[in-house]
Amino acid sequence: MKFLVVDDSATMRKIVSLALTGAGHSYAEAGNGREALEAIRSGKPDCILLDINMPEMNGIDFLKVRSGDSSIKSIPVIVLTTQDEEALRAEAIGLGANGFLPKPFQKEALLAAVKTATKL
Amino acid sequence: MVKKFTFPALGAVVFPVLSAIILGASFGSKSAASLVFAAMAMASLGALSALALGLGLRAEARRAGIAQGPDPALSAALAELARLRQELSALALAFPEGGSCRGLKRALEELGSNGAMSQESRAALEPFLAALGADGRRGAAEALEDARNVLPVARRVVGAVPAKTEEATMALITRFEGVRELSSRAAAASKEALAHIEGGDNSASFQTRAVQTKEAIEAERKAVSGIVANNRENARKLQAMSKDLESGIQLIQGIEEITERSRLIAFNMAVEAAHIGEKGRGFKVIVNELRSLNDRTVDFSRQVRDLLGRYREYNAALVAGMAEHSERLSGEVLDVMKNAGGAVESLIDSAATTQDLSTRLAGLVVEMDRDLDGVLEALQFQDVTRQMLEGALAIIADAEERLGRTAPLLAGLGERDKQEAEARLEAIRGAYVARAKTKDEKTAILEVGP
Repeated sequence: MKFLVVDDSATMRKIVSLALTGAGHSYAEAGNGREALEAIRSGKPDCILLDINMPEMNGIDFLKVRSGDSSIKSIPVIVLTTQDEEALRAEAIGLGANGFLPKPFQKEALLAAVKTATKL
Repeated sequence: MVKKFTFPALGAVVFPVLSAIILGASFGSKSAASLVFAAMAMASLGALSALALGLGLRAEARRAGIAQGPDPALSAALAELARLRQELSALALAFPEGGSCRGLKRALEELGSNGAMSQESRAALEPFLAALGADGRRGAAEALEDARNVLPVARRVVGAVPAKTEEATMALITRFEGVRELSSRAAAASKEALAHIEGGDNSASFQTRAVQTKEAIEAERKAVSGIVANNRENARKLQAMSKDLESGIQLIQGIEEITERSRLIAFNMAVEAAHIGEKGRGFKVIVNELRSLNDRTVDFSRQVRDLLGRYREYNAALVAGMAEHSERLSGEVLDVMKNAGGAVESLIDSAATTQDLSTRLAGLVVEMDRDLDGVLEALQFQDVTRQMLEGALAIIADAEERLGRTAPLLAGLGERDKQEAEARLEAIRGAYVARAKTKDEKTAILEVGP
């Protein structure tokens, strides 16, 4: 599977990518929501792993754009965030996120969330 | 008129001064957190000043009879007033219960909830304010200026932390990748070793071949032992044959004795035939034939005896050689086989040890992988702390902005000579640099302009 890892932290992108490649997946990176939209135009991923707090376009704004764009609406999105708040979770799920994982997370939890979101 | 504006005027002047005093006290602390806290307190106290002004504004509006009108400026001012009261209530929460600032805390609570201080609070604060002379106001103004200069330093130092932690985390991740690569190689090696030893579905495994080799050596050892036993039996038979050959030689010797006696008889017969004369001529022919037969018998006997003698010698040599070589060779072969068997046993033992070690190594690799995953999980805290620091930076920036907004309210409280102010800033900066524990912290402090 091909993933798009969207996070403004290079450290987090690296950590997530290590978990993905360890499970045999490939990935592309984006530093915020706007870059994610550009990356999707270059190549549609099978799943998006999305941070919330990012400059330029944050995760919530990206979800809003995605919900109104039929070409990317079907791509599963899992939110990875340091904000483990019920209101944020509800907002993200309400905007169509397929999973919500608070940081820090275990590799197994990430892969399980991916499996659920992509219905592998 | 003046009497009506006592509280607003008091607030406009007193609260910034109080703020500056708090800030001035915080400079004595070595804690960056206390500095930030003090800056926040001061900024909010600036807002308190604005509240006081706002109250004055409302009083002026009422006095002018426009309090009931839809004046937009008044509405905006009242909205700002409400916001400021909220801030005051929030600020009051920041002061501990029963602390040295309990009077101020109570006053803030009252202003936040009622928009006015109680008589008791005002009475408690007034002596304190009265004690503030011109020097106090000047000190407050200096403290305010210092705070405005110091906050960018704090912002720069705090702002440098995320990049450094990210750099360190990325370095750790690079090492992590190296360790994981080695771990994967170790896992592959142990898997290969186990496959080689155990064979899995492959019948030509090391273990299988070793056992087959051991069985083959045992079979060979038995075969060699059988050959040795056969050789011993053959030697025994050859020895028996030697005895038979000896008996044959003795028989030949008996024939030779008989032939010798027959020759004597023939000689006597020849003498007797000579005595008889012409009549014994025929008898002489027989004697000659007999003599010829004797000679041929002697010659034949000699040849047979020589042949048997040679057989006997060959047989003796064969028996001796067979016994010696067979025993020695079988001893050597059996030794070699014994050693080979021992070597195979050692190999089987080594394989069992290698199998055990490989199994344990595989287990350790699994544990190590689990630990490495734990490291990755822990490294995510870099992102968590980064976002917390970004929050702290936002708070500092907000404090700077609030401080900037409050500063004009202090105009006239006291002015400092520019040169003196710069010297003071340099002194503060020098103290921070001296206290800095890392080169990066020093650099961040020095990079902030005057």
